[in-house]
Amino acid sequence: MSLTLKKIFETVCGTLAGLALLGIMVLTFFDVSGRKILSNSIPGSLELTELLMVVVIFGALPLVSLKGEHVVFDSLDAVLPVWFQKIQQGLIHLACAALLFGLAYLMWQTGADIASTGETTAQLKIPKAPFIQGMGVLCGLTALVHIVKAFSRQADAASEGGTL
Amino acid sequence: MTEALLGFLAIFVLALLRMPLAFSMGLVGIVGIGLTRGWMPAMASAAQVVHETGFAYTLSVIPLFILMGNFVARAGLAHELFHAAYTFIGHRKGGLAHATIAACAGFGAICGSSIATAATMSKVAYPSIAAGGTLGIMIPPSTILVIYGIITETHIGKLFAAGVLPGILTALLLMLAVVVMTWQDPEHAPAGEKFSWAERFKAIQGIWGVLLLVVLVLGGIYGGFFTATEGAGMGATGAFLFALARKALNWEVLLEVLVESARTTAMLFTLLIAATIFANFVNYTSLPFELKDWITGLGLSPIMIVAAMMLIYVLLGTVMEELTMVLLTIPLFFPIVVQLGFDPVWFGVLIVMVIQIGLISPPVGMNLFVLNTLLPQVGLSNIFKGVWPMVLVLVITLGILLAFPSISLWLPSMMD
Repeated sequence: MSLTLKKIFETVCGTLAGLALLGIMVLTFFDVSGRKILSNSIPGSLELTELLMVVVIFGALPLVSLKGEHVVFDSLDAVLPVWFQKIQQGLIHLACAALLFGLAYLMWQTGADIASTGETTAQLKIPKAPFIQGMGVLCGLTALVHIVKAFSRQADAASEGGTL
Repeated sequence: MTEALLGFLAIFVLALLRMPLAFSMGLVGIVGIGLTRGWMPAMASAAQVVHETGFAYTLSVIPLFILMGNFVARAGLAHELFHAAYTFIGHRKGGLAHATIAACAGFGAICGSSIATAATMSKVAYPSIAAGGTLGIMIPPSTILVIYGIITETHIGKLFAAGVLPGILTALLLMLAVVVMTWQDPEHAPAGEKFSWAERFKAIQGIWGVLLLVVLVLGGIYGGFFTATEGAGMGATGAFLFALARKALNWEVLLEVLVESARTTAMLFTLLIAATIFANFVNYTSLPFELKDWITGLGLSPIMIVAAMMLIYVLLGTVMEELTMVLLTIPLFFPIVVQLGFDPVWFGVLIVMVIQIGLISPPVGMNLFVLNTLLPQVGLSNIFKGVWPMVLVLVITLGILLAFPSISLWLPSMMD
């Protein structure tokens, strides 16, 4: 991937997920303080949070794959020769891409089904289908990231359990 | 039963081939359901899990607590916590070590991530003692307790309350170990300088705001004033304002913190989704029943069964990544624990303790690797040698928590 393209990609996905997260925070704050202090909550805040959660998770997913931050066992790396690791990582990236493409197709179809019934959120009547199809699109993007990584020469750095 | 065992085996093989764990679990789960129940149900159940986990309001507690920790970390609080602890206890023997553990406990109360705690504290303090970093996951708000609460549908507020006393107990026992070690080897743990009370209060001034925030958030959750999600949202906003007041934020840094937290969230949710798909597959098979029958048929006393589970965890934890270990085993162990009549809250605390041990026990102890990256001059073998007494202390603590459930359950019982 060329550097500019990578930069644009990171900025778009990052801004999308980051702002959605900021949105959840601000929304929760005003909703809770409104309810506790003025006994007046923001209508539909619950379902807005749900929609924003989808954006946070699936917007950041391509970045997690791009930066190789998924939890991986790398105990064998020390004993395997470098040429073998390269082939192995390439194949694994392709397998991940295949799985993600499958998931992307599945979510797109699910979204299309929901679109045909016209299902919306309960209070604000926001259509759900675009969000579910959006999950599919972002899974597809993540799959593309894995394909690019499968053919790039740079090896993955070790990463393990970054959040515990 | 064979299908489920083959499933576990397949995950291990894929994981050893370096496929990310989330993808291994998800793939095996879908293929497993596909082969045993048919491909249509497999697709439908996978889509449903992705859909439900994505659109879950209660799960927004995870990114909000992560965000809170990251804001506070970015505000440069760790250094001041350490300084404050140091002014109080630094003049004793091994003062530096004591201060580190105390500061870790304090930072853990804010951050909820053991690795982040170890990484942050080791930058400011003495290396061999950063076992204290693991306190971050026991003392609430702990990421692992939130995840445990979600997959087992246990009350998160109660889990947080349950973590408080065990967290303090662990900190005290670690400090006791430091006392013993410095008594044997005084040269390696010199006493620091003594501070006046005026200096001590000055040191607290910088951090009281955040401590107050933590007390308000956790107190609000314990007291039933907030749900865990609401508390997390208020905490994240408070931490954001705190960082803002300290001039630690500009647009660039803000976006960085947000994206970092979103990435951690996405990584965790991929694991969560995949683990749920795999658990669905395992629950379709006869394995959970047969395992339950087999274990209850052994005629062991219930507490022995839980102790045996803990032993398995401690052994597995030395070679395995800890979060994965928990995600894979909870669907099997949790129903047994509940059927034996134990409190899920207590078991959650034990699980966290076991993960703490796994994180610092060689050869695969994540916190030790973090330390090694941050302090390359010390050397991994020295870190391994230095950490064994700490591992022992944590194992003893686990034993105490196992023998006296009331240490974990007393605070949550006040919430009813």
